[in-house]
Amino acid sequence: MKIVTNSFKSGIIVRLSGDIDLETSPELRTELITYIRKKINPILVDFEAVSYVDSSGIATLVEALKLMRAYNGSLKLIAIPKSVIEIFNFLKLEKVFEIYSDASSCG
Amino acid sequence: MINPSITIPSNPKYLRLVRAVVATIGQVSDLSDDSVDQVMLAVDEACANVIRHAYNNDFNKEIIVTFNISKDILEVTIDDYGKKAEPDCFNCQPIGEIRTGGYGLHLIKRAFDVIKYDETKKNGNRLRLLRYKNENSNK
Repeated sequence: MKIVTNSFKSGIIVRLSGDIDLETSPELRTELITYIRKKINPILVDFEAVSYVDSSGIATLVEALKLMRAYNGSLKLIAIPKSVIEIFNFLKLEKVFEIYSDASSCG
Repeated sequence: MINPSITIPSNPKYLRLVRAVVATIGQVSDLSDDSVDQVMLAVDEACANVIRHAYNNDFNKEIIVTFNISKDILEVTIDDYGKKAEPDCFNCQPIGEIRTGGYGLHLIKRAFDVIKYDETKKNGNRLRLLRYKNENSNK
């Protein structure tokens, strides 16, 4: 997994690529927690180049969502591939997260 | 008949190797692409559970994944030599709740019709995962 983070409007966009699994999700968690501690808002996570997500990746995003809600922050997931969104749907998390087709449609 | 198998260290960086093997096994077993994805994710989750729970994140232990492919069943057996699994480890928390764990078991149950530990194994755990390939499957 690779992580590239840039500023985006008043917040940031975290672009991920590769597999998010038990090996790599701690790195994603560290990245997100760094910005959450600074109360960055919003945080966009771009999945366009992500090929695989396991339950540790899902749990990392849920943790980030809960932490951001404490300061009314907004975590937005964008460009999630079909094979990955299918996991969100199965776990009934597609309505828990704000999910968008691309960054420009986040508002 | 020799069953294909793979032995990996209990290090998360080798899970991608397991996934690659499972993907190939799924294709050899004539599973659909969606089924291959589900089985691959489920076996990955089961191995991750071994690393976290049986081996308590000790990355220098051994995980053995064995495949038994027949006309009607794909069986995946995962052996470890770590701490015995708790009897209630198959109890799922409700799906759809906002929590930071417990998703993996749902993903394993989605992919396999039968999930059980071999209670005759004395040292460690042997998890048996069976997926029926015919109309008996609810997958």
